[in-house]
Amino acid sequence: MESIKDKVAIVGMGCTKFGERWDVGIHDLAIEATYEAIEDAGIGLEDIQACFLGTVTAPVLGVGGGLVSDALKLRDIPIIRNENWCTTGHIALMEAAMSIMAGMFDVVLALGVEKLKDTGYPGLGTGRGMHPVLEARRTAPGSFGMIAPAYFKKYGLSNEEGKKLIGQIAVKNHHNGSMCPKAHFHNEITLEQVLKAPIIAWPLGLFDCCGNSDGSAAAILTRSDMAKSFRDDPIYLKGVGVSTDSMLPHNRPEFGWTSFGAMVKSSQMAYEHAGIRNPREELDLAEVHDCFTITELAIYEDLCFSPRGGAREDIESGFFSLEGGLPVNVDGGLKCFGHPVGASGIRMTYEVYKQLQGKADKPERQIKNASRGLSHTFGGPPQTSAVAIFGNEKG
Amino acid sequence: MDYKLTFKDYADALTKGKLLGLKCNNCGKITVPPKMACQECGETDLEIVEMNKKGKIVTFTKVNVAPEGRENEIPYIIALVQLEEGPWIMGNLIDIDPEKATMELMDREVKVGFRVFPGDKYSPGNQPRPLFSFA
Repeated sequence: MESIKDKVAIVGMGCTKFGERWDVGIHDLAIEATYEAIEDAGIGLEDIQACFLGTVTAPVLGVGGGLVSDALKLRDIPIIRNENWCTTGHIALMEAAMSIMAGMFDVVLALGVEKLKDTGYPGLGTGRGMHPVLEARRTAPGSFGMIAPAYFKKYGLSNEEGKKLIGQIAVKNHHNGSMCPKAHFHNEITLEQVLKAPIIAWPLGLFDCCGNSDGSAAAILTRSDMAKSFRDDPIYLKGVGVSTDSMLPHNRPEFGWTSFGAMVKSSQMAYEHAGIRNPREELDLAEVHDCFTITELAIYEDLCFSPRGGAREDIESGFFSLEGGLPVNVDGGLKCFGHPVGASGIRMTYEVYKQLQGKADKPERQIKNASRGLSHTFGGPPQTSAVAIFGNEKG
Repeated sequence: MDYKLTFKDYADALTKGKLLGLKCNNCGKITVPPKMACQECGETDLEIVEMNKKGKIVTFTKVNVAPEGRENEIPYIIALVQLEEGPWIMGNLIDIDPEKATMELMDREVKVGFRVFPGDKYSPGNQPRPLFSFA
């Protein structure tokens, strides 16, 4: 298998304000993100040769590419929609990259858009998972909540110690997001607030859960040998990885519930493409899938940012803070920036792209000399995980 | 290809207090609830076996915010249980006030019963589902 490193570049990106966007429709969100992306790339809509669209809930059936063909006047080109739970945005990016590597197109749009608030999806589902005999009233918080007792027990933490540990992740992400103009929330929170918040799915409280948001993000991709004809500072795709495990934990006995094969394998795949051997040292920032605080903790270990069982020490030493050795979720993450499902992978990539260009929206948020960044989404547990790695120079 | 154990037969048995699984004639592992192929090796040569309905809690959560239409059931505990025969199954835990759930539930031994849960507009009607109580 050949490495995909440096074959594709991103030359323009856009991202809407995330939040409760009752003020606009889904078409407006797509326009808001795409117009920023094409302006950033210095192209027009007519230059887009194909669109890879990621959206999950909106409207679940029969949306196809028609969702954006009118909005973006993309009436005569392929518009290909995907849905792959929380990795949907990343899948759109990867499809776009693959179409360029296959030589089909030179300039394509990867677009993620979600109008979560008025499509009736509260993130709780039916509790059944499309299986008639399995319903246990499991919700998304319930699914991820079950990581916590297993992890706490394995590493000898009481529930109180564990809650304090993961609570620090929420405090960090709100601190980072409070500086982001486009984030859903802008408030700092305290550990005490996290610990006193109402329980959603034990032991996860309100502040352990991410925001349910509307939003959209877009990327213009091209062949890397053409990238500098668009801009002086394109961002190169170094590697991608996707892995899908079982949808139902029943079918994966003994997997431990503290580590997820899909996260391990997708990241290893991406590291291999990118030639990264020690992500903890070689990455300058990471945007990861903090749908719940406990998920971000599991990611630290599965993506090899921390050794097994070492997340606690790294959280307590501030290793993942803005000033730490590997800043994680520097724009606030899903927790504070928000999680419009199909847009999230591209929103994370937007932050990595801006940081690697040295163009973070506020100077106090800029990671100094950032040259390698990672974005990651995870639908599950233990389902699907997607990782993409970017760099600001070839090689 | 045959469905060795249909959802209907599985559900009917559960309503009579029997928890059925499918034992793989290739690798010996057991699949519960039924699936058309072995969850371990993918083989379709399976035979119906009866579980002894004993297991232990491997992880759990307490749900305070329910899926749409289930609001009247909160709070409730969802437990993931490893059966003595190997498979993991998920269900609700009774015998404890959910608000008093702590880490002490981990590894607790349970037995498997059932409760008939009401259907909704997305289901074929009432369904029995595993329910755990302390052994």
